[in-house]
Amino acid sequence: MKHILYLSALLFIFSCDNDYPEFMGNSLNDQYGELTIVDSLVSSSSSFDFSQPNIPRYFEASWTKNLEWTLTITGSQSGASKSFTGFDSKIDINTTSWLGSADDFPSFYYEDCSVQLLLVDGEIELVQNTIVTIDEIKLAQEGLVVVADFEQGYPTNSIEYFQPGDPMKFEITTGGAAQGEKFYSMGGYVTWDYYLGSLKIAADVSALESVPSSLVYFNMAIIGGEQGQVPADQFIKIVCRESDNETYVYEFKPINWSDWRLLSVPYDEFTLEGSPGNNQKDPSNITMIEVLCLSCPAGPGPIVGGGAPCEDNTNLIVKTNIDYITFTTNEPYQP
Amino acid sequence: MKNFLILALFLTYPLLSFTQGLDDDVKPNVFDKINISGEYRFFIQNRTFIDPYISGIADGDTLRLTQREILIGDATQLPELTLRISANPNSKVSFGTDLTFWNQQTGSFEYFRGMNLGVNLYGSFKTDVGNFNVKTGGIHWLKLSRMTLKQFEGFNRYNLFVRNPWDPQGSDIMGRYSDYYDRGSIVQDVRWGNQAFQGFALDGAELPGDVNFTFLYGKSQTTASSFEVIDNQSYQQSIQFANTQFYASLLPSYILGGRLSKTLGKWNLGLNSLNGYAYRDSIGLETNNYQVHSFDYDFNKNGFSFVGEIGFGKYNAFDPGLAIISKLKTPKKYTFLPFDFEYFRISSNFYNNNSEILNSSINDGISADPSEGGVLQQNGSAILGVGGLANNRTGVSINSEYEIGKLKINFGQTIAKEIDRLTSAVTYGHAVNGLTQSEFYRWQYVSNVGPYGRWSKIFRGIYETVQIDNVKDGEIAFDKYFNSFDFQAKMEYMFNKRKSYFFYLGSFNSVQSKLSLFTVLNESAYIRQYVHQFENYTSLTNKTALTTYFGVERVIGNYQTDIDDMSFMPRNQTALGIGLGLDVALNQKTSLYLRHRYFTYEDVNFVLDNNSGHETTLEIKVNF
Amino acid sequence: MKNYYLTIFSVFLTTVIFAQERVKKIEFYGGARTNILFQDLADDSDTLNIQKANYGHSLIDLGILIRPSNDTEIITELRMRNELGGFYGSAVTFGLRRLTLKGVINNAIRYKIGDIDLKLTPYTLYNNDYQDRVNEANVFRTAREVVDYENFFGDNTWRRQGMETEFALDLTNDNFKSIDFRLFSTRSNPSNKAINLPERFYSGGSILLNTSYGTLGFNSANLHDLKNTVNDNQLYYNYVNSVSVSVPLTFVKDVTFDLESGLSSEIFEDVILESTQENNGYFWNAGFKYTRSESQLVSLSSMYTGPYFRSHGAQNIRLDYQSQSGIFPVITNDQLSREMGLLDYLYNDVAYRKTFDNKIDVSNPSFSSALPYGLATPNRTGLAISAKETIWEDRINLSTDVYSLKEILGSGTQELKSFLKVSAMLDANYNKWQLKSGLSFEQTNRDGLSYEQIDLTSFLVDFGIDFKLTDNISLMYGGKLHMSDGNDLTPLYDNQNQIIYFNNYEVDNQSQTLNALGINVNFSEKSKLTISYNSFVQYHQTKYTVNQFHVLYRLNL
Repeated sequence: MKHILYLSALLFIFSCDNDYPEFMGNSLNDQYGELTIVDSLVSSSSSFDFSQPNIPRYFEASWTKNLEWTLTITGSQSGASKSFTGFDSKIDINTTSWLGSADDFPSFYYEDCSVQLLLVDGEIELVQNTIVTIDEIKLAQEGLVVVADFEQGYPTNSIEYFQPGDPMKFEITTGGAAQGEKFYSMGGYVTWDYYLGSLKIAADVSALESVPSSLVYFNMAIIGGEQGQVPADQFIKIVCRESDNETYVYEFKPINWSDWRLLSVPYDEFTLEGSPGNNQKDPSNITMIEVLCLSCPAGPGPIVGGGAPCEDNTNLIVKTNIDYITFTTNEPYQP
Repeated sequence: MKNFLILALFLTYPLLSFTQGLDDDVKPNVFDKINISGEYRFFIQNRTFIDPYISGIADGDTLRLTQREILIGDATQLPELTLRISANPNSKVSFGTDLTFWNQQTGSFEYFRGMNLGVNLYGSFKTDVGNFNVKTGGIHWLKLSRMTLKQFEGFNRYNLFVRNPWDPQGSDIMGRYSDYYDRGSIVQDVRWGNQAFQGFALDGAELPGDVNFTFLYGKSQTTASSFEVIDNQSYQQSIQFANTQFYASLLPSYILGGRLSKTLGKWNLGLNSLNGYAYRDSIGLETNNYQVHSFDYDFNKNGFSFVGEIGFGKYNAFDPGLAIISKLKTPKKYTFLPFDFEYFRISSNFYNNNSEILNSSINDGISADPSEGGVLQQNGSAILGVGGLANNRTGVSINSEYEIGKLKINFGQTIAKEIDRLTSAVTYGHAVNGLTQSEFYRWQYVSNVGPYGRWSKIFRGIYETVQIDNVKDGEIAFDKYFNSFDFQAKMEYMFNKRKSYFFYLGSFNSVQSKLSLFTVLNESAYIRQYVHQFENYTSLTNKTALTTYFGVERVIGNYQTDIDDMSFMPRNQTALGIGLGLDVALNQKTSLYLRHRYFTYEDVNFVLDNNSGHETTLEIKVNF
Repeated sequence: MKNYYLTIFSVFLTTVIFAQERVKKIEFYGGARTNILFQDLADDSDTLNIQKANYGHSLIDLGILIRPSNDTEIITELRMRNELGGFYGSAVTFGLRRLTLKGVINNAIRYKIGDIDLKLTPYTLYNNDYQDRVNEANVFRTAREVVDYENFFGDNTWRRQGMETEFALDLTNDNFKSIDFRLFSTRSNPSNKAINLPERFYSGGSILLNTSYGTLGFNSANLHDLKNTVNDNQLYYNYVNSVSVSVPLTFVKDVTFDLESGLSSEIFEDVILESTQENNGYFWNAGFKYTRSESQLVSLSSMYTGPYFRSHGAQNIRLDYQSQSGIFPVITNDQLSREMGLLDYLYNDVAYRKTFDNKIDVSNPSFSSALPYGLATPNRTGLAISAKETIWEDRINLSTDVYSLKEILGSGTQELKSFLKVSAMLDANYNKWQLKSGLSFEQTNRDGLSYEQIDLTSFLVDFGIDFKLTDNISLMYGGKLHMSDGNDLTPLYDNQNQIIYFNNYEVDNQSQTLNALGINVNFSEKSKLTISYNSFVQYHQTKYTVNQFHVLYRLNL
């Protein structure tokens, strides 16, 4: 009996495996070690051709400790921006692979881009820089249907209307576009009506046939104005009319930013306005898209449609410029 | 199968080890005996005003108390049920507490529970060098000497009609009155003549050289602590046992003192010291300290007694102040009547609120609120009655007594003078209706209230402040002299073959600017106060007694005191109290006391100082 | 057959009858205490902060034993307390300290319900001792006993609330004598629907097989949440099981082989994400103990406690080092936060843990770096030697413990810390003199890069000497010295007991001394009056002194 006890004791002692990591907790080096650059920031090539997505474009660098890093690419002409972040002691193809898109509008163009790597270690910051050139911008997204990009002016069969306010600006504008060089300005000052004006565009979205509405995204770039200069409650209404005369609408409200932003909405989130037809959203049957510019009028005097004026909007000029109206499949548009 | 199971059960059962009952754990040392005693006291009072008391003026309107008020339970701290629990873990140590419970009968089942005197611990041990007793914990009633730690006991001249909550109860319903007649005093509670003390007290007796000593470190009522709201919920969840979070301030306020005594022949001598330490500010930079050191003596021979105390006291940075109290008692055998002569002289710089000596001269910056260490006593130049002591005063007292058959008479007189001219205020207590008037402010200890802002409440009493116009060229121009004369007559007589008693107590006080051998009876006195109180206690049966009371009090000021704006005349007050009561012994341990009192108070010149009404109290007390 | 059954039944009945005895229905026990402190922060230059404190209390703990029957007992302890300075009931509180039902079923199964005290082994359920003493003087021990009493620190047990049962099987065999069972289940916290806190229990027990070859035990201590007591979000489980063996060697006289080994599992379950994180660990402690007589003992053991071994009932520190006393919290005109020290741990209102949870307690490396959580400290391996001897007609007792340990897994680095812990104690008495002293020394080291290096030394000395003036009265002197110098990197744990950060801990010749001179009067073994004067000096970022006058009168407590 006693031998059994001894043996079982010994067996117990030596029976357990040790499967431990290198050490417990976070590395002391990460916490207290000195931060220095091991390999400087380099790009996989000096010029990036995004028309060939199978060839990876990336950046590399390494340093002595794990920390928060940020890599930012900025277009010198377009002002487009793309960022990568992480927590590591290096960057490589796995963490900085770039397909040419931007985080938001504007999109990158054929331009030089400055690349900056920022390493933050407590109060210490290290910065590394390099430059790459975009030889070719990225290809259009699979399933992308462009309704209007305004590069060739007004889209075919489009109708523009705006109220006789003063001033009013409903026109194609060159420079500072979200994508390409031109965009459509919508705005002005109307004191008696919410409606300032609109642009109706004949749309051919038949390429989306057999794509369910839940997988179809409506995309548009919108820019407002500086707060205090534009009404805080200005907004845009999108109207999509289908061939059965059903009208589906969506409002982007309020437009209170002053840089280009991509607004992307699944078509399923549009709501029916007016009489139903087949009571079913068929994005491929969209024949017309209308973009309305709206804002609460400042008054004085009676307001069209009733309601009280918004005196706070007195002398504030509405600005809701738009660009690059598209439909995509499965995912929002990638600027 | 069944047989097998039964067999298995009976076979395995013996295999279960006997667990030796419940005695496996360390068994606590149980007490051989635990003592539980106490009393139950139901008290209800109904007060109905005929002319309600005016508490103040607001926006030209008088504020009056409500016409009627009912109180269940005593407002002067004594509870409904007191349960005294004590135990002796061994022959040398013991501890006890008095739990108190109140059924406030509010209709919402609120019960109050607490402790009155707190948790008290005792211990005694003998050594070769002496015997020692230790007292720690909650309130112990102690005394050292008249100048250090003691309460004024007086000359046993008081009325018995109004019962105190702590009055003991005997099996004889007339016992209290017969004791008073026979012995001149009644059995008093343990607090009589003593001061409340919390902390650590050590007594040593039979030390080498036949010396005894007492050492005290702790708190008196003058150094009480103030607390945040304490409730049992926050206590139970307290993360630490020191409970310092309950203290509003941890700054020390304590007394440290002691007494050394020795008997040499016929002399009993003692050295006493009492030192108080406190702070005036919140971070402990401004001290509020006082020291009192004294020597007392007591010599007895052939019936003569020479008793006294000499000491000096120092308050903060003030110069020390000298105090002398010396008394000679003579026996009847040699002086026809027994006399008690006392001389006293107490400097204005002598300060000790724990002693018999009232502070009337030093502004100690302490609030009158007892929860902030305030002492409930008259301040200013007080009319104290016969034998009362105050600082900044010198004087003599004489007391004597004699009997003629069943008539017992005692009387006393004090003539006193202020030493330094420090204040223009005089205070006096309301003798006849003082308790009733103190109950107008039942749950508060207020100062300078009333329609003229001159009443202040003390424990079970009221005193009134008088301003005197005695200032010339910015200085007080006249001394103040105090005369107090008490006369008491007690008579025992038979009624229906039972002993009954009649008591008369008269007090005559005056304050004036000149020395007088007797109480001044004319307008030369700033204030004259005359009090007559008649009581009668008639035994109706073995178990019942009829009690009656009649009291009248006159207070008259002269034109150098406060003058009313409307009448342009000084105070002229008359207070009347007429009482009728019944004491009933329900059984050996239970008695019922019923009192009805008609009271009036009127000042013909200060017309707002008028109130009258009826007050009925019922008390049922049970001892166990 | 009938007679046979009758005989068995008679035996049954007889044993039950003989077990009964007449006992009183209600008995009282308990005691009382007065504790008064006057403390003075001696710094005349400080004009902004309170310099003095005076407070205290008196209390009675009245215990009531109620015996409704011979085999059932109800114990309750009521507390009545008043603070010093509160007159006529103005600072009075009442409380309950204990409520327990004890009973015996058929004189065989013992049970307890309510407030119970539990202990298993140093690796499963154990309340580790204080870290600021090593054989401290009697003048301090009287104050320490108050801390013990208030926090229910009795003999390394934990006061829990739940139920416990014990019974034994008599095997009536020459070699296998009996099996003792002990099972318990206690409640750690009730459910709280407002914050989705589930009901948590702490359950376990032990089974001990007594044989002529030695003992074999199984211990289990488990902290676990109950499902579905709230809308479950996060659930926690910690299972600890161990086997212990104690076998006297037959081939070597007076030598016993002791072994305890076990496993732990700590599980964090996220019900919403349907994921669990599990940490498993193990330990063993094996050694030999030579006991020549009651006065001589030497033991040598080897230990291994894995880095992921978790046993919250055993890995605990009594004192919450992060708690701050309300006495003089801020000092000097620079408004510095006063560092707590020996005086606070013994007399003041710092927080002691009355219970444990599933978090790893914050430790103070200056007081213990080698084994801050007792023997169950994870990530330790090494050797331990103990020796004890009584000499000179039992007048002198000597004992020493030496631990030489190192980490198993590095903390934030692959370099390993090494620890040396030495403690020695001496008790001596001669005529009217009694001496107590103790010394504890710890050294922690680690090599590596500059930011990895650790070198921490700490030193604790206790010294006390008593002189008996009479049979009941003695003069006492006691001293404590604590010194610490060096650095360490102390881990900060997240909610899942994973290290997320290492705090840089540095002490530069920190020292603190506590001296006390007092007089003690013994009324009985448990009733004492102690009056002492203490002086405490702390040297660290700033030097400060606190002088203290203490009166402690304990009756039967």
